[in-house]
Amino acid sequence: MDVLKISNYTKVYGKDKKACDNVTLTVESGDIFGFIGHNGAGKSTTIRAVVGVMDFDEGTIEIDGHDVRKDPLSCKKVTAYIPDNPDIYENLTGIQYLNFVADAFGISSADREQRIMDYANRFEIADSLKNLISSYSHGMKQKVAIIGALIHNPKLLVMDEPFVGLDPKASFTLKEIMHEMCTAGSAVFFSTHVLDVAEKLCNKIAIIKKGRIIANGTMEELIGDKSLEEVFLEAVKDE
Amino acid sequence: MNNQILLLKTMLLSTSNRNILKYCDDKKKRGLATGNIIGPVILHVLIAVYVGAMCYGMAFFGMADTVPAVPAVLITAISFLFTLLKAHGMLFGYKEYDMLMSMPFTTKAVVADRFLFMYLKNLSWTCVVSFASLIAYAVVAKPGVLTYVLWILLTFLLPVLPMLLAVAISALIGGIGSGFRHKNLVLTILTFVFVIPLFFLQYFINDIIENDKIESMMDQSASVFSAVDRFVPTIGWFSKAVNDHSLLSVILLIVTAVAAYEIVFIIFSKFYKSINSRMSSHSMSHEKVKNTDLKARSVVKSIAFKEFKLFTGCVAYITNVGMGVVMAVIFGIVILFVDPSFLVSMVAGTPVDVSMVPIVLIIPVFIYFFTGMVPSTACSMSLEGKNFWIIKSLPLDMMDVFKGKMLFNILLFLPAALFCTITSCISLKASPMEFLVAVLYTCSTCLFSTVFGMYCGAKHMRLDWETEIQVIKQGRAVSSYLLPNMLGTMILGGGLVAVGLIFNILPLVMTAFSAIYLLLTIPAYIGVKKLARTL
Repeated sequence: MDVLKISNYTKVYGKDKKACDNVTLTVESGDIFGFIGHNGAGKSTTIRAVVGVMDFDEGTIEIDGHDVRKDPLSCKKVTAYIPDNPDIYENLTGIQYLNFVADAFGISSADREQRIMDYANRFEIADSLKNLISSYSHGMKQKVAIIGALIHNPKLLVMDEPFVGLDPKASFTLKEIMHEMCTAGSAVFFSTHVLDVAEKLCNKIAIIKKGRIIANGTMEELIGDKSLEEVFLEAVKDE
Repeated sequence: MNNQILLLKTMLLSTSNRNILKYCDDKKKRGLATGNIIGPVILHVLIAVYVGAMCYGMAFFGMADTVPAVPAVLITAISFLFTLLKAHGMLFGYKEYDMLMSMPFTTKAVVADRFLFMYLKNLSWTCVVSFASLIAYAVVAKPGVLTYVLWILLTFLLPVLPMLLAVAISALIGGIGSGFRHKNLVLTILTFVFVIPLFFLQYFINDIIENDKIESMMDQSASVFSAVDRFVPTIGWFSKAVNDHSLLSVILLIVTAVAAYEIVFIIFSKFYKSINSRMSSHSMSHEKVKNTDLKARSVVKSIAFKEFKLFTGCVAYITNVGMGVVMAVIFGIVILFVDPSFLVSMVAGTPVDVSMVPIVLIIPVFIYFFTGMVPSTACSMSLEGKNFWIIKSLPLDMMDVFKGKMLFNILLFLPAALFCTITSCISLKASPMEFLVAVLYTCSTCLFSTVFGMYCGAKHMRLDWETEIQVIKQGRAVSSYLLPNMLGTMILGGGLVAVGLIFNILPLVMTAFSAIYLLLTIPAYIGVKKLARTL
């Protein structure tokens, strides 16, 4: 079952600068889909369009069968987004922020309490949730943003460079959670520069270069006997 | 919980001082938060006394019917102007945009939340102005219960329409500006195009009064307010509702506010995402790095240049701080071609015959209100925000950083202030001595505002803001600079100018006034040096 379907997605900046050009890819239930490319290749632009933050010019994006432009609320209800730089309300405490997210997704008191404490314990941040977010380190803010994203058990988890700033234990926990989500039938779509992680974690990969998808498929199909790093460097090498 | 209420509640909580006082152990931050509560309270009291006294005076002299128009005019004007200056920073490019837009809220709810937040923040001032007027009116006119009820209830509707109009204009400016390559420049110019004419509104009101041949000062004040309600229907509706208990006026005010709210946000929410998308786009320059880009500069000049780039890269910064510069330049050009009596009357808000008063020495005081009320130095340290680490981690003497920021402020304001002073002197045919005194005053005030602004900016630096507007329009650094400076200039200036006029020693008085500013600059500079050692 397709959880995310991007068809001929094109985003133009200014008059003619195509940040993304005819991007087409599909993320199915149970997939951990890695989206890789150089800086400025169009990863974040695609991700921001998927989560309904950015408008786009051509193509369609569907999440769980709903069009992000025609029915954005239905899409957002089943999606979670963790940006590369978690800009969340700094003057709220961690627990106030998580409570706000739970309210936004209509999570019952019992469920939110159980899920927040479960994830907070796994990310070892439970004791800090009563403090102001402005006092957190980058990694702690990232952890709070991740917990906020997981509160409503999303069908699609979209992450932009999720491992930046996380300590090794938290990175491990996040990978565990990604696997658990996919086992339960959800899907994960994330961008990363850490190719080793992508190789070990993902079952599908797309490589984007100058706004165009230049490779897309399962990990086995794409890398064969080589490493992902070798395939990536070969693919993005200028003609 | 309703999503709109949820968004608003969270936004208020995240910007209030309550959380800091409750959850933060840092004494400095708690002290700042306490100051952020006490400062506005003092301001509210001052405004209440001022407005209350004005309204009491009007009511006492038999113009009680005009009193309701006073808060209505003030609330309408202030709400419109301040919202127009704040709206861009509040609506576009704020930090939590991605987080909010990716959550299951409608675009209309997100946009309306930003508006309602501005509305609630504005509401305390609105209530102070309105209720102080009501008390003054009630003491003299002794109205019935219905007047109290209508006055209080309709107060909450008064700022809605002007704020919505300002938001609509800001959205229009954003929509047009976001389509250009040099977005900030276009947005700034468009904002100035809409804001600057507001300062000339006084002229049109005065014109109406002159046509009515009204002589006395109190009559003139009353006429200002009755004249405005001819142009702004909500003011008239408020006055009629309160004075005549007109049901039609009450209905018109309610229906118009609600309908305008719906219309503005239905239309705006359709374009909101695309405007924000275009604003956040970063089309690459095709130009290669030029040799001039790599020109070596001294640390102070380099910091000043960096400040220039920060200034021109932030619409909220350039419109709020640069407004005075633009006004001074416009005044300086216009006074060369227009009758000085007319222009000075317009700025002063009262008829002035320049042949009767040595106005050439008083004009620099007006110019200071253009160029000295919000120096860039008062907010530039706070505007460093998350980038403050760059300055801290570089091998820089903090005093050099301050000097760079002060240099930028002088380069920004002094040429404009001097230009305005010089053209005024030419237009008013100043004697060489008057010319020197005027230039001395302009230079000394510019120096003082730069250094005192730097002191306040460094002393009350706040880096953890959500939008630039929190620093520029609501920051403690700016208000701690603005209040003593504005009140001091008004009281001291008014007193000294009066003494100078009475005893015909205005040049001497203005020279002394300049010397006071220069003397005050010294402790401010010492304070800046001390702060440089501690930061």
